[in-house]
Amino acid sequence: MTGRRWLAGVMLLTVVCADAGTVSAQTADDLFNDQAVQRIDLYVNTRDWYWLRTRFTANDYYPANMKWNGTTVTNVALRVRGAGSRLDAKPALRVDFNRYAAGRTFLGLTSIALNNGAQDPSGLRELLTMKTYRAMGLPAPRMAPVALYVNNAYLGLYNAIEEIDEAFVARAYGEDTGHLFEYRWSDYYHFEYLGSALEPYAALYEPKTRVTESMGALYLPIEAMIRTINDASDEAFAAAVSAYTNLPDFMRLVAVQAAIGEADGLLGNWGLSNHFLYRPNQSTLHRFIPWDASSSLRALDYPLHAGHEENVLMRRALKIPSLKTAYYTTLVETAALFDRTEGPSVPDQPAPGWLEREAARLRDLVRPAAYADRAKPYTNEEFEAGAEEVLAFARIRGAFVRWEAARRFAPGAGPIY
Amino acid sequence: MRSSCAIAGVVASAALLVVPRAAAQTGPAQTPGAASPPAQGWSLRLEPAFPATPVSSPPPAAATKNGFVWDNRPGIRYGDWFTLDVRALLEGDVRSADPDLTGEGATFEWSRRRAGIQGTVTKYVEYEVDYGFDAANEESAELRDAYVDVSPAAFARVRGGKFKIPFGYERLTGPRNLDFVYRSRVSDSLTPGRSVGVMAHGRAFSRLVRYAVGVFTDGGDQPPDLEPVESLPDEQPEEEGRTWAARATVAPLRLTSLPGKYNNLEVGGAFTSGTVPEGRNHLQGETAFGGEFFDRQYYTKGPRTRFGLELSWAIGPASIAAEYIVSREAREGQGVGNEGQIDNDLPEIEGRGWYVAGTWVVTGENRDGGVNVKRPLLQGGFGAVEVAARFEKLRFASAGAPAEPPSRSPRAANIAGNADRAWTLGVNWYVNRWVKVRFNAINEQLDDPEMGPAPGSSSLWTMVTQFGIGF
Repeated sequence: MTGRRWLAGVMLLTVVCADAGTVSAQTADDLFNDQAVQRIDLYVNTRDWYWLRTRFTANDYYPANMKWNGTTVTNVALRVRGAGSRLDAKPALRVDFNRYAAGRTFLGLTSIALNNGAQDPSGLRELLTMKTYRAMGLPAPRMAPVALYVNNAYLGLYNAIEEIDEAFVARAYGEDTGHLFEYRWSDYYHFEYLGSALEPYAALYEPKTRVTESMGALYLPIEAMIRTINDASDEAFAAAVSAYTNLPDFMRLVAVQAAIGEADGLLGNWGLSNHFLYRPNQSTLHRFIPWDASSSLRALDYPLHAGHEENVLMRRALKIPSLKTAYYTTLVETAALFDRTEGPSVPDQPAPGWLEREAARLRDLVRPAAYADRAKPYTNEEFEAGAEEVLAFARIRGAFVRWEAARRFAPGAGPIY
Repeated sequence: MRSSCAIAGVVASAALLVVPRAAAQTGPAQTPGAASPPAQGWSLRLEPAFPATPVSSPPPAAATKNGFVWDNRPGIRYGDWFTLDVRALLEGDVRSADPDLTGEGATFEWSRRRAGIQGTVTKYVEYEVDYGFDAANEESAELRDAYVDVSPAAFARVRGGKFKIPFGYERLTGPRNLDFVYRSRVSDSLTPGRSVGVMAHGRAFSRLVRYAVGVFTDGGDQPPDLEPVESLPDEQPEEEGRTWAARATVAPLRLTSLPGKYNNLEVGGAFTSGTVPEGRNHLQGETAFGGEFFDRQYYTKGPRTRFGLELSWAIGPASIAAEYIVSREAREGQGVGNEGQIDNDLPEIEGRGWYVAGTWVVTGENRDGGVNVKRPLLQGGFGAVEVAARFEKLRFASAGAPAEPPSRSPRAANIAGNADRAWTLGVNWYVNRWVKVRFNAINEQLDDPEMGPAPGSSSLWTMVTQFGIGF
């Protein structure tokens, strides 16, 4: 056992050091480069680190210095983040660069999240999901696996995630002056109209920008969007709702989520979940941004119509042929991405598709760091089993999506009971 | 509530405006229009006692009378064996500010409500007990001074109990003798206030030299409270360490042949050394306007030292005073660390400030020994009027020049400092020996208004009128 740990440590050091020489590259893309395990060092006062871990359910901030790729960022702020992923031994962290100095950024970022993989023994699911969104042209946070050291001691394998903030929306949409909201799950909700009072909407969507604005400025457009989703006539639905959200973009996002088997997304098993909403300034158009995808790539046969009946927006959108076609087209497109091979095909030798190749590559990349991670809440065997589940999903999901999409959503396809 | 308090203050003021005539009936006979006897309560002494007002010699009539007496104040006397004087002070401020943070416009508050006794037991022992409310703690009264002073000789006196730590000319000046409604920012923020301790003090060479050396149980009540960090398991809570203080002043012009009213220039220096427990316990900067411009957000631990220089001089009806104070507070083991050292030491937090103030009694009374009103109101005159001005600056920053950019992180090596520059223009009206009205216009400029009480406003105005009654 000791020998295996020693070997894992050497392997981890080799992987981390392999990237240490690229000091000249200093962009956010380098930080979120998943071709290597990024080493991040945090320096935290011993007292603060004790209380951060002891009070891991609180959102208290603690000062720290962060070092990455030869660059030290002084006076960052740390806090424990997450909901079900909060652990004292291996806390999920948020690193704020501008909390103690307004307007400060690091590589153009105001903050990053360090996810502890508490809900995914493989540590691969969110990496692959966000990678899929981006490959499909959807705005989604960048990610990279990270070997996290605290006070010169290895803490564990994490995933660094770009936070959804002004810097993100500026990169995704070219401007950052609008209203950004984070969805706060509290109960099953599917875009039902909650009445004209704004408080119920405020409970669902927490403002992340322009937080001091009035309730009306923040939430009247959201209330109007949800009212329109519910009250517009079938004939006027597309035109009316298009004033509040881009329906083809919405269909594309939920189609990719269905293809990747996201069970905790916009149409997930627990109702609306895990997303941000962005509304540009002086606009009523809302954009959906996916977030936190640790529940994807699980069930090989995760249904492509999950949540469609429950979600008011999806149920009504699918009645419009062009939107249904857009959903189908995106499913097929995503399946094609999953199964895209490299190089010439060899008869009788099925080549792995893009998703399987990426899953295998990332598994091999993070394995040493995962093995050396003594704070993880699962065993090395569970890591391997989790990774194998992901690989199995990657191997056959494309075919399943094509088959299921054709019989449910292809033009002319009838209802299936 | 505020308005009722204001009315009470006005009524009390009116009562004391009338009192001089009644007091004159029981006190020594006075010629109408003649100068009142020295008003000990209002005398602005350029030789501040260590730290409180010494007991005055009773007027001739009172000196010869045993039992209850009422001259400047009520008291009890039994020859040279025992004296007891009752002291009281009531001060209320009407204040307005721009920008108006509270949105209430002009407001009234009791800034000081104090009562106490002081006296002697034989000629070798003095005592004082003082109790009261301040604006900062309106809810509960506190014991302010409670000490016994034994003086076998003028050059060798010993004081024990609770009293002001000997540091800071203006801090050691009693509230009734201040030239302005508020003490300077540097006095308010960097001087230690009161503590329990023991102090040797005295004067020598015909008052050419004064000194005080003491040791105190803590760092004083300025700042008023400490917030030690929560102890880790198996860690003993830290306590505030003792504070040592020393102060000496010299009156060099006493060596010259200048007349007495010009030779009271006094220069001096003072030093304190103490230990602050781990926590966000550093000295903080507050504006006269209200609110902090440098609040307690940085962790400190270890020695706290202060160094001060002072000058005061009364020249006929005019006076000048100046102080320069530097504080340094250690941050041992308060850093976040680096590859080489975890929990590294951080540069000290440095507070540095000064003020220069001047006054001129327009009605001609001498400042030396205090403004003794020659023609009190309702006794043939208008009282005495004095104009005053002060310029000051107080700055907090990291000591040295840390290489990293400034930050508000509680463990930043280079803290985001801030400075407050203030002008004060004032008029003091000495109505009679008991009643005093002060008006001050204060303008403050903050280096970083975002850290101040009105983010976005670098210029802060405060207008305050203080009504004070004391004996």
